[in-house]
Amino acid sequence: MNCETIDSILGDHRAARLASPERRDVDAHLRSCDRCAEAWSIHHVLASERFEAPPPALFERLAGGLDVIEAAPVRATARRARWLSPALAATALLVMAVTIANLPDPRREVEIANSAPIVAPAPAPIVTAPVAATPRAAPTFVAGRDYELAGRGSLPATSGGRVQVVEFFWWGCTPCYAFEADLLRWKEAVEPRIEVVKIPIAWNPAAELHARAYYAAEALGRLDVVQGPFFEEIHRGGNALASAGALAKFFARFGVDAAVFDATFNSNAIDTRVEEAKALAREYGITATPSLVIGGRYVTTPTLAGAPARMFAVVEELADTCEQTLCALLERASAPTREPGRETLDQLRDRAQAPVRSDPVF
Amino acid sequence: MSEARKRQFAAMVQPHLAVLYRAALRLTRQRQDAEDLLQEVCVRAYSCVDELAAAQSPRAWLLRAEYHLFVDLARRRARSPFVTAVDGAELAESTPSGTAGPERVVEAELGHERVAVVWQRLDADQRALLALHAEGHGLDELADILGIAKNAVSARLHRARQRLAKLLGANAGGQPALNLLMGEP
Repeated sequence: MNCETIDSILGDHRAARLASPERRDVDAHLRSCDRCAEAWSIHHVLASERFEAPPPALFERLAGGLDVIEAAPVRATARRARWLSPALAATALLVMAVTIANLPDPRREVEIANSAPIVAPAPAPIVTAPVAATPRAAPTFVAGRDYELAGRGSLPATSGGRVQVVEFFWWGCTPCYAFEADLLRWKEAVEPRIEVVKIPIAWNPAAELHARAYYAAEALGRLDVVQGPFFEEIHRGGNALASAGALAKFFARFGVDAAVFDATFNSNAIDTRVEEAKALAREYGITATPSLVIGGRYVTTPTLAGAPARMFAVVEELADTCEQTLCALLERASAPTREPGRETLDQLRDRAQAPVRSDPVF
Repeated sequence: MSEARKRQFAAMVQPHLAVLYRAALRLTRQRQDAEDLLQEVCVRAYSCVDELAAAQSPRAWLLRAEYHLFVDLARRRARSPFVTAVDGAELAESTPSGTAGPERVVEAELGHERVAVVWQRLDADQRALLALHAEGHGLDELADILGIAKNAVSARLHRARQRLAKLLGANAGGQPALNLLMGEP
């Protein structure tokens, strides 16, 4: 009996099947070899741990998450979806479970919307006609290589019915500056279905100043006019904008009075925004800029995804995934409980344009 | 999803669901995280259903997907300061002292608790390897899942066990892990 034999017995779970002479040999070796005795006991503890069986209807829940990949009028659903809170996600899964139970029924699109009474009495259900499923190509990009899974975070999947893409950036960062023009062009092209939002990182004192300036500009309604010139000032003008004074002077060029700027820049509201931004960067494990978070769920960077064109292809594919899974789930779950008074103008417009069937289907 | 594709997917995945779920629980030690991991596995499996159907062992294919998705996710989370490792001080408060009572029973239960405490401090791939192995997958299957040679699996398993032993020992004031696990003071 030697250590290798012990390893192979453990490796193939043969301990329980040992004949008694062999067992005696094992015991003798274990008594004399600390290495194997330790391995044996660790194996024993790990292998003796028992974990529960899958909960009932687990497969149906999981399959429910997939059902939307191919089904559903995706574009229309995405337009109306807000974001996927955990509670709504739970409701979504519940509704999907109902759906699966009814799968063989070809009219299930309609049925989902009409499953409302289990949640709340729905005001005149809005039913969109089923749209032919679009074939989904196998994903081109791979988690761990082109992007990473962020798990569940606080950033919403969608905003205003569009998938949300967040760029963590810093005005002082050269790659961010180089990336900006491509980002703006791409942003314009995907505007109808993707919302691009910036969140400044605040890893160092200069970045924190700039993060404050970012939110001050937003609060003063000057973000649009300031954004580009801020980058230019640092990277072409050689002005680091690394003090409150320098920032006040810079903002003065855009018609912001120095006193107003100071008051805004030093306000509690800006503190809060910067703290939120820091917390989000921590939560998503952002370690480089620019980093893009797609649908609150996936993270990619130029290091992972490569040149901007490829990076945007990664982002769009992930946005498709978000749209097709999360948003459709949410739409189905939230449709029955939608309160008319809380719909946005966009949603009302969508409703007006959507083919509406007001007659009871069943 | 289309009926035919759904049936194909269900036929490929459902028979292995219990195995995948228990492995996910072992890996994550949280029901919700386990379910999230399985959802990712299903998304992967569904988008590659043809590849899965052609696989020699669908179970190994699925476990490989689970392994890689878990390691990706765990590494990503490990970089987030939001995930805090349980430290030795907490262990001292939350688990009984290493000196067992007069019965000196083999305290597998105690061993489980101790393992649970230091589990998150193992590398993700070590956790994944130990978990899959503890679920009863032998060296041949693990070699297939990880795409490495059988003796490499054996060596990695041994290293992972050593590391776990070291963490257990370090957490209990340098006692040999063997004594801790077997309830001997």
